[in-house]
Formats: sequence, structure tokens, C-alpha cells
Amino acid sequence: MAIIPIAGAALPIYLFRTGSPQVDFHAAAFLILGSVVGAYVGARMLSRIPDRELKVAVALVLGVLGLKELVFP
Amino acid sequence: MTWTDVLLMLAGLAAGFLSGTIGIGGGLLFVPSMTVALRVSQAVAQGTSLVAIVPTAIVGGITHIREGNVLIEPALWMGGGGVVGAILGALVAVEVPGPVLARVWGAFLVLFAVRLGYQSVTRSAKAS
Repeated sequence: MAIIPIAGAALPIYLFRTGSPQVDFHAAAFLILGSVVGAYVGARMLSRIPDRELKVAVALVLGVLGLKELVFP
Repeated sequence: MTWTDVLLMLAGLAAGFLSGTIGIGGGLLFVPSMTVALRVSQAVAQGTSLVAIVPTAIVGGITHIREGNVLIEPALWMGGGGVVGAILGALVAVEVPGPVLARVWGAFLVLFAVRLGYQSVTRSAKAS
């Protein structure tokens, strides 16, 4: 719940601080569509998901993506 | 609908799925999926991620309030403190050159990944 005012406070700065808005509403709409469905499916499958394996896999993917951004921004 | 839209929806699906199962927030996946897969600039990816987080968190938050899973007072304190930090952070982020912002973000992602991997391995070792 705490993320709602936090994201809401930062958003106007991305929208209005620079010459052009640093926000893509079209992209956001499709992210929202997917994430609402994904959150529902995830919550339903919660008990059947191998927690540790999923966390390790996510850590590997995020680690690779982070290294890519760090070395080739 | 373009392939880019489909990719965004799949990224959203993965982010939503992970927030529903292991509780990892949307922005961690929204931002790299836009910068790495779609070559969106770091600042636009972060701004767009903020737009996508708000409705998702409202829907999730209402569900959790109904289930009695929300401690209202700590949420208010965290939200209040977070607002100040978010404004300061956003003011810095829109001024910092894109590649620098991407490097800082990459470093954060690597640290987060190491912590997540370490925690999941050590916790299961203790349990077994």
C-alpha cells in the first residue's frame, strides 16, 4: 500500500520537470494489463510454486540484466 | 496491437506473477524489460514503471485490506517518508544523464540479485 503515494509523488516530476514527459502511457497500459492478470495467476498458484527455485531463477535473470546495464548502459 | 505491445504485456504478466508469488515489486521487472528488450531510455522506463505500479498496487492493496493483511499505521509512515524520498529521487533522476542513471540502476539490480540468491540458498540450507 505504501508504494501508492510514493509512486504518485514521483510521477509528476517525470511528467512535468523536463521539456518532454518522461512517461509512455501506451506502454504503461499494456504493462498494467499483463501485470493484473499475472498477479491473479500468481496468487492462485502460490502453493504449487517451488519458492526457492523461482527466487534463484529470478536472481539469475536480474543479475544478468543488471550486469548488462552496468557494463553497457 | 504491435509486437512491442505483446512484449510489454508479457513483461507485465511476468512482473505480476512474481509479485503474486514471491512478492517482488513490479518496477524491478518493468524497468529492465523496457530498457533491455525495447531500448526505451532509462528515465522514460522509470517514469512509465511508476504509472504502471499505481493501479496495480491499488488493486492488490484493496484485496490485501479485505483479507486483513495491511498494517495501516506502518503503511502510512512508510508512505509518508517514501513520498519525500521519491520526490528527491525523481528530481535527481530526471537531471542525471541517461547512461549514468542506467549504470546506477544496473548496480542496484546486481546487488538485489545477489541478496535474493544468497537468501534463497542459505534459508533452504538452514531448513534442510
